[in-house]
Amino acid sequence: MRYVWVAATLMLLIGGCNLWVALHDDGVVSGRVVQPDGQPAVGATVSFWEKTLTTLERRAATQTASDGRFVLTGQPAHHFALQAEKSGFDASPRTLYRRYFRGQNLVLDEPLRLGAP
Amino acid sequence: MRPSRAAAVHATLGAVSVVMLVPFYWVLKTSLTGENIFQYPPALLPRAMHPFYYVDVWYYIPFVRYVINSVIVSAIVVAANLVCNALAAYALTLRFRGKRAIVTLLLSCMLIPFQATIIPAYLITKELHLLNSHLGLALPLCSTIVCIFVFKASFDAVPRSLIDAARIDGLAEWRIIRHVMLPLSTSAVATTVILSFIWSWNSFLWPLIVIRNPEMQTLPLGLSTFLSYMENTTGALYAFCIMVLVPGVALFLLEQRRFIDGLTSGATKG
Repeated sequence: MRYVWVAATLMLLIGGCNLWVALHDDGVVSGRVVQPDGQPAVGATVSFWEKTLTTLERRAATQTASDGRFVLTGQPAHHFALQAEKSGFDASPRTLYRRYFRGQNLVLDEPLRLGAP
Repeated sequence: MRPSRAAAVHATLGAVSVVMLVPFYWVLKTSLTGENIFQYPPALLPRAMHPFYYVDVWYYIPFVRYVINSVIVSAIVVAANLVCNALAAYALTLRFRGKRAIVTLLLSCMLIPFQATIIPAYLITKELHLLNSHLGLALPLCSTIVCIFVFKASFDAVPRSLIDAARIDGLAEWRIIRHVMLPLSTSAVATTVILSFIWSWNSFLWPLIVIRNPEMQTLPLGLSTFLSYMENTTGALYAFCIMVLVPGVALFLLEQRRFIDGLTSGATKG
């Protein structure tokens, strides 16, 4: 009987987790880029780097909108780095992020901050 | 036993248990924090725990593939051990000429390490065209002498009158094993299941020799491969260790009472 309960509980947990993942795995990463003084960085390029076993590989890039916001879609990597660049400023530090599962939708808490030229 | 003496015994046992559990705790803690194991002074309690090392293990390597391979091999090993060992043990409960010699031979074979027989085992597996296959991985563990004697101890405890009655009722020998001996030997069955599962689950040397295709690797081989890739990532490595350990520990916890009964049955006879 214990085996039935343990197996049923595990199946329930796994099913629940898979359902949650299926509903939240669009691979969307969104956030903001700001200048050194905190103003939104318009037209900055945000690069998405996938962390592999041995290195970082550039997978995608996008531009920030007029409010400094950016959205990257369809990026499944669970371990990745973001970096913002804009002419006239130093690039932001390449920051590593983690997701609980591949393609998890993620909104960055902290903006990417460009460096002073 | 006097209360003060009982308390002292329990305190000692508790202290020994803590000492034995510390390495497991350390592995679990490191898998959740990724801290440097050589850090001094070491942190006893985990700080800033997160599950991301488990996520790394899940995605960086074909972990599910390894688990499926290990489960298939373990299932074959457990099934084969139950059948082969029960048959062998039943034979050893019967009276026949040369029984002592066979028992002595089996016991002496336990002294030979597997490493000494690995080349013949490899050649036999090759001749059977079972290299790089699940059956080939399971073959050397399909019958183990320890489990034969576990079954034998349990079968010896079954009253002869029951077996004689079954024979008078017309049961064939294999049906006596199936319907009389095995139902009365659940502890031996549980012990065989747990031991053979754990031996198969943790087997490293034989899969290393037999397997060429990365798709056929089992969990211990996967752990070794992972170590070669990620030698600096302590957290992920320890997370992998925990993920490999969990099924065996879970099986033991589910069946620990019968396991202990099986290992100690016959120990207090006469």
